[in-house]
Amino acid sequence: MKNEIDNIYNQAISVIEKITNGEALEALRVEYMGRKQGKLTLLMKNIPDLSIAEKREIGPLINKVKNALTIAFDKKEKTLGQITNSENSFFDITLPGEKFNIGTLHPITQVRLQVEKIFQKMGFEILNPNEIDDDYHVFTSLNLPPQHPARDMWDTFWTENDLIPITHTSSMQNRAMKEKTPPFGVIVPGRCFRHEATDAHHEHTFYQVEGLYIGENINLSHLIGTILTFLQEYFQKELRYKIQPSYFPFVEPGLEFLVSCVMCDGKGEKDKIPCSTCGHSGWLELIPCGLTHPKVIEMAGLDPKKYSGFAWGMGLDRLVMLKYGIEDIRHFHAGDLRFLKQF
Amino acid sequence: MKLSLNWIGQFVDIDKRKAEELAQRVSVSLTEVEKIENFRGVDVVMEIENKALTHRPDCFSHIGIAREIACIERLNFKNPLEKLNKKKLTFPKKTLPLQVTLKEDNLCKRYTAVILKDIHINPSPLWLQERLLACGVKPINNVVDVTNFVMLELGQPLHAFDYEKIKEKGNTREIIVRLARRNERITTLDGIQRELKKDMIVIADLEKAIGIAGIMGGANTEISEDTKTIVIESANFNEYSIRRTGKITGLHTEATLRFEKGQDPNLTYPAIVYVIQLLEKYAKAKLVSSIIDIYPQKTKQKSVVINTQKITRRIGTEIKDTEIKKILKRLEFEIVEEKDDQLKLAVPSFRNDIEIEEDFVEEIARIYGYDKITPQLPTRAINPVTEDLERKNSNNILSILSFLGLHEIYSYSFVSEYLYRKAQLDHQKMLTIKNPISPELRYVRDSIIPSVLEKAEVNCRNFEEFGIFEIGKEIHSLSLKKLPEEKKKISGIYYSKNQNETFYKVKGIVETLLNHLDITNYQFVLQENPQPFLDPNKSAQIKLLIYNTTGNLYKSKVQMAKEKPTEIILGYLGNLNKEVRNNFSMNGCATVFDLDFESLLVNIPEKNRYHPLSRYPSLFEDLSFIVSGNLPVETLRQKIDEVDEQISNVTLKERPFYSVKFGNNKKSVTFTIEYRNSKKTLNNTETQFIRHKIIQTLKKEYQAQIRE
Repeated sequence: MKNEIDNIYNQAISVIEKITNGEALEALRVEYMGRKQGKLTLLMKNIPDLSIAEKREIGPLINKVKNALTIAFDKKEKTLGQITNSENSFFDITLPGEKFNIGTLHPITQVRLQVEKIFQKMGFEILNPNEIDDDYHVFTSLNLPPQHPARDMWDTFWTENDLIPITHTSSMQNRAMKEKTPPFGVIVPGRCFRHEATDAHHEHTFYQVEGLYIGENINLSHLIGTILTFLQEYFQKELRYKIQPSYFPFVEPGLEFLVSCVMCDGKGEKDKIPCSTCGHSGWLELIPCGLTHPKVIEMAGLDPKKYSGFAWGMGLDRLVMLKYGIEDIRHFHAGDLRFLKQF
Repeated sequence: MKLSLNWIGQFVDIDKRKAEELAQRVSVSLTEVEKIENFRGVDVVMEIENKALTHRPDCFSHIGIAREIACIERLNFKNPLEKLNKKKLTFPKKTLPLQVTLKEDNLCKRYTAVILKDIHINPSPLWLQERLLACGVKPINNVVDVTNFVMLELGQPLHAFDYEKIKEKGNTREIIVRLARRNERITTLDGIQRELKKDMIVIADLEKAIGIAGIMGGANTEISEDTKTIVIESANFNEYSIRRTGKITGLHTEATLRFEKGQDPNLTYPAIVYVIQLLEKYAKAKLVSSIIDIYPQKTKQKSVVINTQKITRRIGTEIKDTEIKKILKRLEFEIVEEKDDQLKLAVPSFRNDIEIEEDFVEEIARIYGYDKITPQLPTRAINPVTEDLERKNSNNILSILSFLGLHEIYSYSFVSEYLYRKAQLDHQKMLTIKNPISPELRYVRDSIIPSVLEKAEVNCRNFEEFGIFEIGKEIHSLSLKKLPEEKKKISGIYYSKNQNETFYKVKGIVETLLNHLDITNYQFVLQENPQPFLDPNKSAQIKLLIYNTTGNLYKSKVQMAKEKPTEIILGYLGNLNKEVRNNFSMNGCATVFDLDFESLLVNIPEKNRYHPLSRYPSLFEDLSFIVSGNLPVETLRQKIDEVDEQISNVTLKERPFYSVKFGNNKKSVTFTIEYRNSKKTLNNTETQFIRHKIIQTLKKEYQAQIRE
């Protein structure tokens, strides 16, 4: 019996060596070690019939052989597997890459940075407004004394101590003129507030970029040139423009700067469907602006005979909505990651 | 405002069929035309935007717009006022008595009135009704319609009182313009009883108020079908007072709209003449008084001197003087004097918006055409622009935070008491808004955290793990007399439903941010008074240690260890306590952080110090110690770092772990130690010596056992 075991072992080892594929290896494993008819298994079934002395000798021997063969089979399987994998297996480049969780910046921040960059390139400095400011800076210094009828144009919040969550970042005009030496250009991006119920198109909290340029002999052509240059840089396309009279007490004249609709290129429709962005008109009323009122210059301590300038205010929210086609302004403050993760 | 083109056509010869082209020219020269509409096939209605005309009371009438159109279209303007002003009226010998008294001159600039008798109240003629309907005004009866008609044509609001209903005393009746009395009430024509405030102007008889001046008449003197005798009021009230009263009462009538902009006082007379004419014709009315006209202070003729050169310089394009003069004439500015480029102009009384030379930049430019100006950029020296501290670094901060996986959110600056209560914060120190839109927006926030928690709650429903942050302002009201202090903060939260600890995630984010900004001397210490929403055992203050670097920029670390640095508190981080997590419906673990933006910006070093590369190799060695479970790892690490100048770096190799093998509440801490000498290669004996020093120091200070 001892010889028989040795033979089985030697035989098996030599055959395993020659095996070249997985299926043959598995068949061989069944032949020797299969649970029912394996050669080694059959031998083991004889053990109970042996004498005690034989049992002591044969039992451990069979176990040893069984272990050795198991190792040999496993090893061969591994070798065969490696060969198969490296030579034949498919390298799946479509599997997803390792995942990195990267966050996002709010779309208004992204557009603000973009706007800031364009104006910085054009030589404008950036100022930060107060979020809560006094009547003098928000209204009076802008040629809007108390009881001025035009104050109604701004729906204003008031704090208990008669301060104002700013209605526009024009609140920095007076400070800018007091601090800087002309010629200078500044922009003031900031959060503004108006007392208005919120719906898809209206928000009580919004973002504005005020611009102010003061120098000698500044005129309407400079105002138009500056705003047009900015808008073409921002939208990266040639735009037609149109100017309409408007009224703001801190500019004279007060104007509304309109550009050809960036969605339908001023045609009023796209693929024969009326353009909803411009309300079919082909024009976008984008930037209220004007030449700085001499009283505003004077109140800031500059000589309006010597200096003139221009100012404008534009809504960042609007630029963002135009850029991405966002239909509901309420998304901006909802904090919903399903919205924010898209930017 | 709606305008009938038939009506305008009476004063200027326009072609109704070319209304669209006309509208385009009106839009770029006066105000935006919002709509052109056919009215019942007989008229064309042009609807214009009022906002750009806030300063142009004259344009709230058909003659005002007709005058503008005549100017824009270079057509003749047939002004009806001239005829009305010259009209000869015949007054009866026998008159009814009426006295008008102005108690407050400065509140009523002019009061013109007349009495008409034998009124037949009937519907107005169809043509008149059509005019009103085209402008969106409902016809009522001939008297009311005529007053509305004249207002729409000339811009002068009018009112008719029933003469018989005015209180008679002795042999006369009196109309008094005065301020309202305390607790005075009036039921207005709309049937609503209104309480009057003491600074409102009222029209009264000897007994009671019979109208709120410039806003709406009283029901007590209303015209009815039986009315036979009426008083027509054509007055001019102080625009500021009317505006205030309109706002308080919430009554925005056609009259208010015109009065609050400041109508021309010279309109009251021609308007009343026009009303008389029309009522004589359509209500069979007869004059039964002369025209009572109280005009205490006649408005003075204003004049402005302009320099045509200066005007064209401001416009930025060459315009000939002859062209300028033509435009001025059409707009009814009369040239009183002329010398070289200087023109002295008489301002017509209906243009109360014109005050200074700059006003003519607009007048000339808009008629000449903004489209004729060639755009150009201002020229100046090309000095580089100074960049503020925030712009220099905020891009960097924003991109680091987002690259570390945080999403930026925006939330309102206004918060509610309820939100603060949920976050276990005191709302009482916050500034309040007097006129909030809703109670949820009543306070101006002095912390960003509650808003961040609110937004986290929103997202817990859809995401199991996320990080968000906001850069926003805290508003601290220090004194009600001063502007509040505004502090910009970076506040955020990291939430995970499944992870049982997020503290180290957030700490890692903060550390990475600081390291990336080259801020290295920071320290995390347990907060003594943690914010109420935090778990007191899991919150840390973030401190910056500022060493005095004057004199010696390259201090050795042993030197630095001896020096006492200035401490700046940069912010804090910490886990939300269970109650607050529950309040915001969070199931897992959540860590918040709050960093002071300004402190961060000002402490970003200008230049990071360069460390020369060592020419000699470093030796690395891992050392494990068994220490008390309560000993902070950082204390241990710093101690090792200070042992010898030749220890160039000490880092934690793996998270500490506890085992019963080490004893009760003992943990194993493993550090990787880098030995280096910048002047030579260290040999084993030397590192052995340092290692021995480390082991001895830790044993002495913390009873630390080296683990072999």
